[in-house]
Amino acid sequence: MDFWPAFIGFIFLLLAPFIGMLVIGLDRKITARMQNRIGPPVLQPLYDVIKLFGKEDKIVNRGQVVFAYAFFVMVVLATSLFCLRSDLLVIFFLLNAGAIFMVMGAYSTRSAFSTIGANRELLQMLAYEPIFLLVIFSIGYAVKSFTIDAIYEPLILKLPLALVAMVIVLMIKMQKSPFDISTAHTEIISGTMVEYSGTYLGLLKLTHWYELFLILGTMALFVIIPGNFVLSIIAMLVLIAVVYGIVMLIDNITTRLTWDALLKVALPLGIGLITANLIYVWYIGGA
Amino acid sequence: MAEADGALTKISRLKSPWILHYDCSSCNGCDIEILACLTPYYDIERFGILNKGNPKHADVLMVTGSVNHRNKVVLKNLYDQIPDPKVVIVVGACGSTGGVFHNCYNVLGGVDKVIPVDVYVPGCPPKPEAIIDGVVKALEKLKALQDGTWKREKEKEKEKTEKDDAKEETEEAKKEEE
Repeated sequence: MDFWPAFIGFIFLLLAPFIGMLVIGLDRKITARMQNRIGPPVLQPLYDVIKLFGKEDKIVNRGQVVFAYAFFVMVVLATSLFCLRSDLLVIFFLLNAGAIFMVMGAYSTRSAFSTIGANRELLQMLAYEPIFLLVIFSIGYAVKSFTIDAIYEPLILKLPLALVAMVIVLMIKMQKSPFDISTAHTEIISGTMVEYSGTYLGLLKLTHWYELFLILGTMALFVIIPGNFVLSIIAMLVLIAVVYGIVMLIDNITTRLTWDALLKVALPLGIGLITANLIYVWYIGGA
Repeated sequence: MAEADGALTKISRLKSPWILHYDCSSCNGCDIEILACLTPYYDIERFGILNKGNPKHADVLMVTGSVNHRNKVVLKNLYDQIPDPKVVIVVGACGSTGGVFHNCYNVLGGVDKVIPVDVYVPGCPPKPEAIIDGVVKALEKLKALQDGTWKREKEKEKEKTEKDDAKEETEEAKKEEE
């Protein structure tokens, strides 16, 4: 591997949590403005996590701690592979291994809220994993390779509907209404995170920043313009702003679905979009 | 209170107090006023304050209503589940002193009969502005506790006993030398 791509990847790996944090901070600010409130400062998620790292450690059992760290390590590993422009399939599997560790952490406690949250998290995975995997497969079909390095043209020209399907993945993964069933605040407090406190809650929040970076990064791959770094970055930022703006709007105007409605809405919609897109790719003979 | 914490941690604590709201046999008057603070009109989220219905995530315990024999266990349990550093705010007359229920046969009195209280917000019910003011006072106290300019009674006693123990030890050592 050349020096410069590796160096830029390393810089992105260092920036990843801050990018995730800023997106969440802006999300909270803009959501507040949409509800006619002033809203917290943009750096509020950073304050929250630093505060959580400074709190007393109260753990329910040791397994919980191990699973929290395993979740963190898996997601950071996936992010570093992403920044090094590696294989999308491996990134996907690592990300999901991390999610499984979080579910196991939630199952390891006796709290009913935690268990219901873990059940719902598994259901959410059932909803977004096929879509995410099919998006990666369709990238592989269009590019003839699963490595990020091999992308030679803006994917959005060939796979516009797969990008729309990725929005569903983003909404489910980031617990956005109407798909926020596993951390439903008013029903099951905060679901999978209910038994975590202090440092380990902070660790989970930090991992969510990485996850957000990873999902937004996967979407940004669709507008990558090979050979033109500055233009690629601008296109990525515009895409992320547009997509996240739509997600925030939907988050604010919809109510939470029940779990069976989630499966009925997300799965057919996502798989249908990708199927239509693959037919299109086959029709123009791009593959 | 950990005085050795970094400056960033100290600032962050003051900027993100997450609230646990517990209703000890209150008439709901104070609770409605607390929830009014979360509405767009007052919008306490602009100070980083979030209402988390979970003691394990909370920093500030907000209690309304007088304590009776049924809920004193729950109150103590919730207080113990909040990780340090934490502050307790009592909202309303009943929580502060027992209010009109102070001499009922089943009522213990104010919240301070069960757990240590940092800030009292009097009123029946207090206005949302007064509640926000109470949170600000609690944060001032948290700041003083962090800087070491204010010590809780429990810590004072602990220091005192430690000093006494040290004294006794030196005296014993002296005696042994003699």
